[in-house]
Amino acid sequence: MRLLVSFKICPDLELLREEDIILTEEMGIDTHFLPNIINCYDESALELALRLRDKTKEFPIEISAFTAGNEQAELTLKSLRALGFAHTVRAEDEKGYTVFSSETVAETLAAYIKEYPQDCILLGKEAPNGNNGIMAGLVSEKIKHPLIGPILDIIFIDRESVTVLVSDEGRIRKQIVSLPCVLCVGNAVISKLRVATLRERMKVSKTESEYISLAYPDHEYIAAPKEVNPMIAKRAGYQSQKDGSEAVRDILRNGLQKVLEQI
Amino acid sequence: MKLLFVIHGTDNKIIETAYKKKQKICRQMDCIAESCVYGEKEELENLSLELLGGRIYTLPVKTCVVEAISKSLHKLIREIQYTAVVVADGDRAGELAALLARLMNVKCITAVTELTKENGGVRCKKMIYNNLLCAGFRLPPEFVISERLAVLSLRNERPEPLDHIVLEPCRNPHYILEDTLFEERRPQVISPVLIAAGMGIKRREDIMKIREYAKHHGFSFGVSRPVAMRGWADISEIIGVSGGIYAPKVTIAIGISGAAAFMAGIEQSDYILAVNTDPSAMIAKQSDAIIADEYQNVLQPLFENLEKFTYPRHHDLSCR
Repeated sequence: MRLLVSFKICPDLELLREEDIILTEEMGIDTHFLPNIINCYDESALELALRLRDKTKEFPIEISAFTAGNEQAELTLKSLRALGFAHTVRAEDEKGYTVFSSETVAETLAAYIKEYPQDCILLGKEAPNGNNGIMAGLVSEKIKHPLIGPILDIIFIDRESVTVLVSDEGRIRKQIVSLPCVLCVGNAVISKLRVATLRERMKVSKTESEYISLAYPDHEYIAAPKEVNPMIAKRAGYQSQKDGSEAVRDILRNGLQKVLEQI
Repeated sequence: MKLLFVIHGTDNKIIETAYKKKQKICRQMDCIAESCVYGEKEELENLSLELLGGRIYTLPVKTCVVEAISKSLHKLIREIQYTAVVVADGDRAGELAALLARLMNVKCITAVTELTKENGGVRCKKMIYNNLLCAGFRLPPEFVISERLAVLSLRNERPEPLDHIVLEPCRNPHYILEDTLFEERRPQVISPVLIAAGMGIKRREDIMKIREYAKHHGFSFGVSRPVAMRGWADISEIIGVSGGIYAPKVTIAIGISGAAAFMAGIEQSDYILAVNTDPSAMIAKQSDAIIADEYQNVLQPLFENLEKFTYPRHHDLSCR
């Protein structure tokens, strides 16, 4: 059985301060100085895949990982090989074209899957750069596999079907879905990817990723931005210059008390 | 422009919010919108659709599978010749919008926070890069979007008279072999005061104390996604996209950075107070006030003052 996880490497935007924001020509933010992380939903997907492989004893599951990006992804890909991902695939994108282009990534992934069919494809719900939340849907539509999600957990898999827990506007549903399918991973119960041991890393020290070129869709449905601007303050943002209980009294005097009196 | 507003109708709170959003869209687009509410048959029957008003199509579904729902919606869209679709925010809104756009062969944007009519087309905005940037888009008059609109105020207008049409139920696709309810929605405490805890809270015990405090006083309580993913809170306590959306009088956001996904859950608050050691955190621009201090120094005096002004318990059991 084959399982593929698509993930995105993102800059850790939580560390970005307002005064460090520099807009780029590509209508993004210059983030070259920020450490990179795996998009949190994708990280859950990667760990879910590993756990599924570990607990399925009846037959072997070959897991692969796919990403579109530049060389910065190589360290993560090597870690994934160390953790047991049989194939790690990188669609080369040195210019960062795919940062915003979900459709190009989906087209590239679909092309790879058509060449190397998979029983189950996992993707995270959304990534912080574009906040689109559509990758899983695009991939599903391109490869004509059903889309199930947002997934909270994968309970069981056999040769014909997969059993999952799905979030449904606050409810949780248990679904058995026939394979092949695309699973969109949401607020999964498992969120952190395990860490490879030194021994595991040394085992794969001489291995490499597979590299493919980007595939571009004939037509793009997702509109591209015409302009980007720093976020304008939506609220007053009164900052108390005091500390502790003095700060609380200050805030009460400057607006909070009036609101509380209306309750 | 003939606009269809698509809503996943699970309860009347959703319908009330949908009415506010429909009002906002119609005002800004200078058009009339009709609605399609999809959901389970039993839930649809319990909805007070007159709260939404106007022409409403209801689409019963057995299981919320985006592919099947999009095909049923597309059939309606072609029949009535809608030129634009707005999908209400929800678990599957973005995917549904993208699929509809492909079926209709039009452009799509997801998580739109503002839209206005402009020069024969539409101008949209959405937040990107974790709420750090605002991206502007231009669309032709034929489009599909999923919305993430804030509806702070409501004009005092009555909904239009209801004209309800029930559509042919959406069948379960063949690939869903079994579908059962695993866990029902947990009723959320809806209070005029929401206490939200984020990753700035360093200890699990502190999260528990804050939760206990909120519970004891009948306040709503929630967390940012990373707190729940760390195992310090239940997934049902997540605030924001794919979590709870709140519209309280006051939100106290403790140790919250202000990421877009979280802010979607509290931006409808009348007043937001942030407690964060970093005065230039993203949340500062999105709050009415900020106390830049360690939460341990602030919480006790803050909670004492909250108690003075609020009644002991505010309970309105309601689901998102």
